[in-house]
Amino acid sequence: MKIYYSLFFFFFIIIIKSQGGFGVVYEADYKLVYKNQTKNAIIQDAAFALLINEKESYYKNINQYVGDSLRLEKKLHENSPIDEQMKYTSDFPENIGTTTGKIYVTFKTSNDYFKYEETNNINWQLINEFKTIGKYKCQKAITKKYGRTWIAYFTKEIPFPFGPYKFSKLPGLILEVFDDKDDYHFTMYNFRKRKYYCSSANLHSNAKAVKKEKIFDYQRKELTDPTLYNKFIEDPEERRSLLKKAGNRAKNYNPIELRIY
Amino acid sequence: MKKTLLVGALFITSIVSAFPFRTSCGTVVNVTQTEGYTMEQITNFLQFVNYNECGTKPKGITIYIH
Repeated sequence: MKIYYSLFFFFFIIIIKSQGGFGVVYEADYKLVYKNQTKNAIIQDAAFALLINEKESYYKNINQYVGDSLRLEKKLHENSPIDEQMKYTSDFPENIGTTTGKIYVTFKTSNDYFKYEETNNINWQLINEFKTIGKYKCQKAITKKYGRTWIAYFTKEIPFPFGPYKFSKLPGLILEVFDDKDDYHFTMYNFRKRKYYCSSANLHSNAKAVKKEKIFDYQRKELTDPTLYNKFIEDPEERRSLLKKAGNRAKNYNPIELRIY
Repeated sequence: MKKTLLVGALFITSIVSAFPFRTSCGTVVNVTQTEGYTMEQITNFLQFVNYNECGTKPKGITIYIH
């Protein structure tokens, strides 16, 4: 009988692991204000959750965080009505797991789920400048990463070396981080103790593994992918018109990462 | 700016194969083939169209059932 219990426990652990859950101890929520076009950009915003424990963090868009939870409960699926689907989409489909050594990214393109890893080698220069954000005393730090110069404010009062997106490895939680052109500006608006197991953190841990070089800047390429328009639009004139506008959007596309590393 | 999309015509149980799609900045695109695609795939396409036409992805959608 003992062996059956052991086997059951073994398979239970395998199932939990393959679903890509995350043991949450704290949650920090961030607002991002961004401009994803270089010309005549409309200023947009999005919200993200950063799930934190002692060893790692997991970052995802709030809409997807809620959507994935509903998907796990089978309350949202691929044929749910469009107005329901729309509530849980985002310009930022990346789920990002961060440890001191690695960054793990899982995301969905228009066709499929992919994942890649990169070395977590971000190198910050600490600056002797301080400001108060909320009730926390924060120190300034600067780094060059992904083709932009980033300015961060972190607090040692929350001693976790994590932050939004792929920013980490500072001696305290990042409460604010932005690039020097202010195209992407993250600000923490909520921090709280959670203590739960998030089973829906990464529903696609079995996504297709690719090198980052292969998939980099995929969103710009997708904008002008004619197969997408051929699927849904029959009129060649309308397709041509849409693709022409897509070409302009792609030309002026301003993603958070301008370079791979 | 109002970020609501208008979809012209739908069957009660499922989306029809063709419908006019009004973007959040007011332009209309005639979506003419949707059979065989999931709602998720159609939603994804409408988001691309809205971004190309208006520079933003929509935050919501209103569906009118005739």
